Amino acid sequence: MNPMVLDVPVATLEEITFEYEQGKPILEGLTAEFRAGTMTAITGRSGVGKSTLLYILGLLVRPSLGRVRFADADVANAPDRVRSHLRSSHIGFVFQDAVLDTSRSVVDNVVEGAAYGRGTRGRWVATATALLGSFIPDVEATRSAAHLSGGQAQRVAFCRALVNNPTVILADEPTGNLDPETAVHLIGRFRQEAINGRTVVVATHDPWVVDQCDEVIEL
Amino acid sequence: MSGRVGEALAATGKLGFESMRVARSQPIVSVLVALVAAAACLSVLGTTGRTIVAEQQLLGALDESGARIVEVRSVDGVSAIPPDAVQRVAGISGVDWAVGLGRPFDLRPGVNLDLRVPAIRIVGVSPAVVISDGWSEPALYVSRVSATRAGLETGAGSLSMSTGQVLPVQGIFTAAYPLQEMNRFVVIKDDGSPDYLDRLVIEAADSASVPSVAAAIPDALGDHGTAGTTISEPRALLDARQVVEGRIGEYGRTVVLGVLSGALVLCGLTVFSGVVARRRDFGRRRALGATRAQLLVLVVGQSLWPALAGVAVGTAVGLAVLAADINQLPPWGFPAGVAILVALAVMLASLPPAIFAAYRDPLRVLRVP
Repeated sequence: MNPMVLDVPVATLEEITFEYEQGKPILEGLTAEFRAGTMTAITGRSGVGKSTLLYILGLLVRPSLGRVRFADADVANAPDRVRSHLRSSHIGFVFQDAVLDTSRSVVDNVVEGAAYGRGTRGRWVATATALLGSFIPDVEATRSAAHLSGGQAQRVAFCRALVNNPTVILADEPTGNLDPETAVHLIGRFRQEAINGRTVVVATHDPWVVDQCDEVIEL
Repeated sequence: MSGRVGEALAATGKLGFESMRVARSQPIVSVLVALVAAAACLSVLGTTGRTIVAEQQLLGALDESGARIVEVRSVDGVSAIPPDAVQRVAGISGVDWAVGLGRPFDLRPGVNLDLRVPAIRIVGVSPAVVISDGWSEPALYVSRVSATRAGLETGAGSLSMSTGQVLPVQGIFTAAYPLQEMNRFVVIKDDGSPDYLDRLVIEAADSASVPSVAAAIPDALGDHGTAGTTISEPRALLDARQVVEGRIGEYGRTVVLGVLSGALVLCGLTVFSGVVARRRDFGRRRALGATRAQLLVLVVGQSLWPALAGVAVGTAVGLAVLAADINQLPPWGFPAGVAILVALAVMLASLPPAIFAAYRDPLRVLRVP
């Protein structure tokens, strides 16, 4: 058991139902808790709603029914401003492909969230530079993101997810486009962040990734 | 409170800079928006701007023909214009200047009793009458014409009134439009006589003020103002002015609307194509904490920066072409207005793509199929 695991859940999904078309729910009455210091896998076959559940937890999508609690406040139907502020200050996203802006430099990609969050850009750049130096020391921060390999890009995306010092890291198939060696390295990083006390949630269909997690939600 | 305002300003500033970075990162869209904005300014200045310069020249010519002049004449035999009314009329709002003229009378050079020189009394000051040495009141002044007629070419000498009173000549004057007829006369500058005047000539600051000035004159004249005078406005000239302004204004509005509509459509399509091409970027921005409102500002700002650059270049080139071509520029308010309208049109055009970007489902645009 990770010593950083706390009894109080950081985020909770209660009775979540989601449907794209009325009467055809892809998630129905789902309840789950996500604690600090744990790494949780959301798994299941394709199209079962793994990403949807992750995006509901990440406040990018509103559930059709149910509650999404962050620090005990239901934010499922909170105003866009409140949900965006929570995303900006408490949540870090990693997607299947890095979704970098290839017209910008590596460091500009990492600090992109500064435009919407609190704090000066300078402070974000300082944090980003330290993160990049730690995670991908072989890549210059000022280098164009267009010239990165897939593994490098995903590590830059990982730095982008950490730069706002989030309590929750959400990853949607983060190893889907990576070679096994890079995938092992990246999942090790997620594991380390959970040990450091963050809540890590990974949507994946990879059994090996599922094995690395403390909790599993099977859809 | 000031802390909140500071935070809001800082947030707006960050968003402004971010929109500038986005504009730089999409050079094709930005260059196209800048080109459309520049072309819009250039074409409006090249067409309507040229017409406005022509309109200004035509209106100026109409004004020089008397569109700003109001005349008050006393009805024959009625003493209706007291000398002190000149100052009151000059004080009416919208009046540039007013002068009062007495009835013409004859003066005689002392040496030639048969010769008569027409003279006229003037009360008030007008830039249309220029005295070589400045006005000194009361005094006698001769024009070049009347000086020759009286044998006083040097501007020195004296003239006698019918009463036998001899008046020394103080200097030479030149009268221009609309008082050029005074060049035929010797002028007696405000001699303090209480005699009623025969005529008032008034120039309004602009033709639009003429009706209100004309309406205020009877009160300024006093007791006999209405019954004893006729007030003439340059009605035909004012009507002609209105027709010129109306026709040219309508043409200008049509051209500006057409150009703005074109710019609106072209910019809208350009920005929309940019948004569609980078829809995943907007999903990522949402994930990074951007509100829908911030995305709206970002897309509009992204178009505004190149639009401002295009407007600046288009306006500068348009004015340079006008200056080189017709050697005259429209009033500064026109290019400024066009620049603002084009920038607003670009902002308006980028709103639908901005709304599209802000309301896309992030799940659909971010997930890999």
